[in-house]
Amino acid sequence: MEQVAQAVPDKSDSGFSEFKRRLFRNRAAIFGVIILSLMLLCAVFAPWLALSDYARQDLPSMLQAPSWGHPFGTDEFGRDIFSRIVYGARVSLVVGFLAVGISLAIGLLLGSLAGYFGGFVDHGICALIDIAWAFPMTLLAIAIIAILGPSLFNVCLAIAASSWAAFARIVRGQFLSLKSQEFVEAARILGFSDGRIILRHIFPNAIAPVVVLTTLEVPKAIIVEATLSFLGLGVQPPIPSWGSIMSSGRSFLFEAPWITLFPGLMIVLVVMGFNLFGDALRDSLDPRLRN
Amino acid sequence: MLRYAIKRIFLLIPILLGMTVIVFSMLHLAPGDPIDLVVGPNVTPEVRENIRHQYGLDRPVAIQYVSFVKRLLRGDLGQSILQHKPVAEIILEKFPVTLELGLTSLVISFLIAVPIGIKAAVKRNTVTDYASMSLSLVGMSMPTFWFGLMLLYLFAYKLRLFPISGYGTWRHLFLPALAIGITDAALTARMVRSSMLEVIRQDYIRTAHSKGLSEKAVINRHALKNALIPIITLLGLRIGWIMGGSVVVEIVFTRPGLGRMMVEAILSRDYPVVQGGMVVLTAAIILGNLLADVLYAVVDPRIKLR
Repeated sequence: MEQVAQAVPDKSDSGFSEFKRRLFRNRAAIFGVIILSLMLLCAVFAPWLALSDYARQDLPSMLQAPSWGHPFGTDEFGRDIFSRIVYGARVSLVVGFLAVGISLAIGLLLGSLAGYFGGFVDHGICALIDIAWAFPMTLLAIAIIAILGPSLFNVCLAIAASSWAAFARIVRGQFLSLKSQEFVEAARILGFSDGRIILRHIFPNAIAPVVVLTTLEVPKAIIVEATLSFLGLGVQPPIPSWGSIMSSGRSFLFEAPWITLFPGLMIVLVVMGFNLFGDALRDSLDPRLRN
Repeated sequence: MLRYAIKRIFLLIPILLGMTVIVFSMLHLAPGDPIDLVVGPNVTPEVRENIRHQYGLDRPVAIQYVSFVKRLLRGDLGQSILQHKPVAEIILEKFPVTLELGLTSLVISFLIAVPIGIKAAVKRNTVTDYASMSLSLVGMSMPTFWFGLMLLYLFAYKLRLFPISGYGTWRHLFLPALAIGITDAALTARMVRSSMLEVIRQDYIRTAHSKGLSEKAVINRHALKNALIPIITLLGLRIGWIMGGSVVVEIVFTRPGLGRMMVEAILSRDYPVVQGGMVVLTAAIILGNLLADVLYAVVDPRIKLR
């Protein structure tokens, strides 16, 4: 009787639920997921979570230390820091995902072309990857903002200009190893076009490391955006970005350190969350660890 | 070995050329007429054409690029629009400041990261390992400029141990270098740990153990030397990151270096300075990588035999 029952595949044997199980066994991953969900909540529900409008000035209450009324204190215009930070989550999330989205698109395209077609195409794209890789992300982003001018979208472009190389490299590696496998040969014999083979056959098998890389590139993008905004080269006022809050807080660093302290702490938490989640994701997607 | 070094130096030339192409196109990719960056808007058309001819901007782009490179080779980086001084002169003033910060940060970073990374690898999956990797995670997650600001507040203002800004003595150097050094060490420690782990997995380590050598002897006599090689390649990787970090840190600590020069030039639209600064900074990074590569070849006996 038992043998018959086990011969029938159980829903819990599916790859995805196995993956979920392994993911949530990791406590660090859960911590990461909690932090990220909180950030997402802040970004989406900002108008309800914030204590006041982020631009609302209240000069008599300027530069107040954290208190019950203002959990993170106020800045030089009397604006509530907590509210500004909650709204700042929006900028960080949007930039993080938009920048990495653009990188992903470029990287997937170029990486798959390089890996699949090889030869001259591969050499050319590899040279591009090496050049993009050689420049430090922050410096390249600063240079691009110098050309294009500061704005949220330009910040995303500036970050993507550096970030795409990591995606392209990984995708290329995946394609190189996958294209010599039998299922690809079979698809070719069956007469499928190159495009169809790339999209419907190789892609799905190449995705796992790309997903992991995404969770690790988003926090990098968030830090670079904060750095750019801190330098005045990013999101422009009055839109609050965690970086620009710290930039204006810098003038009052000694009298009102909380203005610079809290946005930075937020960044640390969020980046840690992404990294923990990404690490756990990578471990649970690794086929070698399957028992 | 000499052949290897010469080969690498030759490979350098196309990379440097490529970099000049990119930096040159920056000015021409900027939306709008490059002339607007040099003159104000309230200028008559004749004066504009004069200036355009004076700067050679009416010639075909390819010829402009060639003369750009020729000027570069002569050491002429143009004239700063705001300061009316040759860009090369400004850069010569500021470069040592940034170099000093970069090198010191690199030293501090490796002094912290290498011992911690090796210890974590040797004591894998113990409390030491988890603790150091957790610290490393926190360090990696901090924006460098924020960490610098916090250091500034705590050690320069509250405890009055260091000056708040400026350049000159080792005291001016310490906090900025610490800020970059610690954040870089966080990432480098992880890399040291993984290359050490790879070395430990090798067969010759197993042989050493089975010969009966103590753990300490195995590590010191066999593992360390071989782990040193990939650690040295890390030097090359981190140089670029550290130069990037010093840009922001110079602003936080008000150091008169290249990074601060660049940002101020960008904000005030002083494009010759931006261009000159980019050329020098990226050339420095590329040269730094080359040095690290050559160092790697010197240390790795397998390359000598090729």
